[in-house]
Amino acid sequence: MHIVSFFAFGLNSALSPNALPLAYLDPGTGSYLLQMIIAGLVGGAFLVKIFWGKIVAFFKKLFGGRNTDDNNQE
Amino acid sequence: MTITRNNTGHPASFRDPSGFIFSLDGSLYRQVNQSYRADYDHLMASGLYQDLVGSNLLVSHEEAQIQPADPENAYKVIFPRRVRWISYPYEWCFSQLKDAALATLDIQKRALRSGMTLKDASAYNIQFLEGKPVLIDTLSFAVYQEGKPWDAYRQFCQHFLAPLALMAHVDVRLNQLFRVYLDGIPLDLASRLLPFRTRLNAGLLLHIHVHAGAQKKYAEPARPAGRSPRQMSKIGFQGLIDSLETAVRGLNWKPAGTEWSDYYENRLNYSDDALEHKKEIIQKFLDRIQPKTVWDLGANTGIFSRLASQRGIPTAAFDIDPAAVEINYRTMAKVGEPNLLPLVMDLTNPSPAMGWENRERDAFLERGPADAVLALALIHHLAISNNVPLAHLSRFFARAGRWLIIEFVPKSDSQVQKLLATRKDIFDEYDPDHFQSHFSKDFTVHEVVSIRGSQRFLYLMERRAEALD
Repeated sequence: MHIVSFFAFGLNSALSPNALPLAYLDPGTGSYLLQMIIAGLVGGAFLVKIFWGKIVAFFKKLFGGRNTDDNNQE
Repeated sequence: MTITRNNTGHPASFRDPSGFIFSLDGSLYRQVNQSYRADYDHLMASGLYQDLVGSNLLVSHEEAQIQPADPENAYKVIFPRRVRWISYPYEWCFSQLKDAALATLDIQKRALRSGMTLKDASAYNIQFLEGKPVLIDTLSFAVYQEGKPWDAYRQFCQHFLAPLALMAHVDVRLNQLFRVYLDGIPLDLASRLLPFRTRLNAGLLLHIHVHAGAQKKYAEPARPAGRSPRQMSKIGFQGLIDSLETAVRGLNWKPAGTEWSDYYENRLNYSDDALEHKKEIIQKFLDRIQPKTVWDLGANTGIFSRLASQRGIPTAAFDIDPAAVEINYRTMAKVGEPNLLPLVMDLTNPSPAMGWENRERDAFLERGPADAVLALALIHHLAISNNVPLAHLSRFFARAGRWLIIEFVPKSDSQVQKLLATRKDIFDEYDPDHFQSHFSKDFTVHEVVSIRGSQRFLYLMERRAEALD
């Protein structure tokens, strides 16, 4: 769990009540921290996924294929 | 008239300070509080509301011009479209919970595109409306603040991912843990129950096993610190949602060893002619009584429920067997049957009232009565397998609905013979005469029809006015 500890330094401020004006649920310290780590891990892969989807859509359009709905609009 | 929140607020609507549900003259309204004003206005003005309602993902509402229940804090009062049958995740089959999970993630993705986020991800905020899972809490949205993680991540994992993983990898009946843990399955428990191979699945490894470890490690409140907060980028947020979606989509369950097409046939004791005759009688009864709502108790895969739902009658089809409900739901979803809602229910121990003050989640019978109840090939299971006396059965059905279409299965029937094969027959009163005599105390018997090619009878009964006194 060292990687969790590595990211923990910023957590206390992120979890202060002033930083959570909208929250009524307790997000849970461990859950809050872990999702930031996972987001860091999967964010890049998600970018590649979107980029790849756009490349595929571009070539489909270029070669006269049907312009399929791209689920990864973002 | 001024109404205070304390005496009219719905007993399940108190956690979120953004607003609350209240009832007035038999209708349910939702007060939107001033504290939620900016978020509500963003939801309505950004196009997100129209997008979600148009996609059958959010219950629609109208703004109501009535006195708020708590005028001091009120911004608006909205009148949401009514959901006919309220159901809970411990009554859903696997695919219902999975579809509810995917709907929640779809809503979150669309919310992010409109500059909002879900501030909660409770399975209880999802209900089935016209066969589709929809979000019923209009106040679940908050304006997205760049860099801020998802407050509802833990709740999503506990309410959706953990129970789905347990149902898919351990036993489909484990969604019954919802009846013990109101806020979803604790992740440490899920992690202990799941087999080792689930650690080889990236999504389950991260969102359940490592997540449970992180919760344990940081169980104590964080200490004050002066460092700047770490941010979660929007693309990281989207990646997180995408990762959860991949994990949910990767979970599957199907009834073992059953071909769907002959599932029903394998469990029935009818010739084709008897089955058709039984359908004819039930249709004739339904046409005679024209019920507004139907509960089919012991519905199996819904073959007779559909006689009601296809007449446009809102019909809830209950069965104890998660496999039968799964088949019923998948058929319903495939065909698109807006009036049918299959649910898992053990009638010998139906859903109790639960939560704070035992008033957050309604008991099974509190959600009725239905206008008509179907009890087909059911009574022998209750009377013989579960030893319920006929008088108790009559009282139960009288509480469940006004009209009763009930099939009496006599001892000579091979299905009852099977039930009696391994036990002593202590059921001296289990015969048509005693059945009719006991039920006549609570019901007026309008018709009795023998099912052709069988030894069974179908009764049409109507509850007496004094039945429940």
